Amino acid sequence: MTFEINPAVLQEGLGLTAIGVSTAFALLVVLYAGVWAVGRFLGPKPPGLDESDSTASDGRDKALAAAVAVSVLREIHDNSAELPPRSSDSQLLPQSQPSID
Amino acid sequence: MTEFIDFYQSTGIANIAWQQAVMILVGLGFIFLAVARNMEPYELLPIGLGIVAVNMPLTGLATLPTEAAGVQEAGIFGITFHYGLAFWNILPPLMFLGLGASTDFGPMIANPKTLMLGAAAQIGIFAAFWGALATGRFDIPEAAAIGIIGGADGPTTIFISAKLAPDMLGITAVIAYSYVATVAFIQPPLMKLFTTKKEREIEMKPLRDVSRREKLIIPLVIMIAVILLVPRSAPLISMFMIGNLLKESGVVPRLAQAATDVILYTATIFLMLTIGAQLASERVFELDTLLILVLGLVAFSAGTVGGILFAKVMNLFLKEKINPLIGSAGVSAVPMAARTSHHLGQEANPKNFLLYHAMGPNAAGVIGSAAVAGVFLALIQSG
Repeated sequence: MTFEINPAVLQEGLGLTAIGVSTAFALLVVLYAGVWAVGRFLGPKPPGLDESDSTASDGRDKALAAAVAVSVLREIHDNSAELPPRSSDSQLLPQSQPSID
Repeated sequence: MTEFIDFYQSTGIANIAWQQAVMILVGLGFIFLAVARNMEPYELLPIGLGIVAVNMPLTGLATLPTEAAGVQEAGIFGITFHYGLAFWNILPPLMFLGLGASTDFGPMIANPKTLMLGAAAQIGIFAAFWGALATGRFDIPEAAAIGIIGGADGPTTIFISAKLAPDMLGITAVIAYSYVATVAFIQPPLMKLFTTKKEREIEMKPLRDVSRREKLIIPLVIMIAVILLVPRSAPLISMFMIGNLLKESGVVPRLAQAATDVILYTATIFLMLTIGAQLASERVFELDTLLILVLGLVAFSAGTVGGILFAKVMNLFLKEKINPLIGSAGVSAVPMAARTSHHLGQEANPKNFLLYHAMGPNAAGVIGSAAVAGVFLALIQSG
């Protein structure tokens, strides 16, 4: 077994290596750019950016409704002494207890 | 008595050579590994069976088709080799169709930076290519067939060997699949050697969602770009992307199912049996086989290290660091290399979940090795 390479083989080998390595890298750089560009324009938008997206819009409405509900509940809790009974509750209250309504 | 002696001399028992007996034991060893150890059973079991069958004396199973004297005495494995690999080379593209239909490009689309890791891991191909040339025992086409083992992609190795060095096909294919099967043993020591614990602990954020439109368009973009640049890779890349589009389109589930089941497994049976049948004793007991075994390991190791080191270089420029362990998945070996990255990541940091991230370089590695294969075919055959 020799560890000498024929000059013609060496030259051809160098050419193959240079072209092979540069082709693999160039190709994958091009694909990187292509995939990035497609993702940029056709990828899913982050929630809240796409007005036409009904799912995102529904999500926002639900979040708003939840926030309002929490605020109301907290306010009611803070003023619990003045808590008005629900109409259904008022029917269950003993008659002796004064109705606030 | 004479008839009895004639009969005895016509049996395999009287004609078996010690090399054939050893190869039959090797085949039985493959069958044992597949059945008892569950090691790459889809490849090693049919390869083992092929080795056992072809090394039985006087069978002529691997005799190639010939036009001579109008008599056809080809063996079944000779026919599958000739039409499946050497002449038409149809089996590797059929396998790529099935592999494409079972590949998810989602991780690669969500984090396209990982494509570069797939390119870096192709360094292994050229390390083994030069190693083979340096021995002085292989010419350029043979060195290319040996180098492509570093792509860790069985069908690509077979595709290239069948075109450039058909005599070495059985050896290169078996060595490629053997190293793919032992990824979990070969890669971890190298991955630990070339990374610090701090690097292995790097957590990667969950990937973004990928839209259906992206999954439909990206395979087309890849197919067009790769084939325009490296037309000789078309048989592999086009079938891979066609398979993938059958799946992602969602409108032909039966075709996608056929590609991933019937076609992939039928091709696997014939391909692996044929490869096993190429391992006749007279081809195996040579110094060259041992050299290819060593060079295959060099290729695999260099690819693993190339991917890891490139990930570390990328981290010098990235705000959001990537865990260099996913670089080793660029050698292809889908999905074992990705699993290995994941396991080592979890070992360093139990919060790490690298599997999905590592699938990006894994898919990119398949594209990268097919592209290099196309370059070899274009320059070596036409040169």
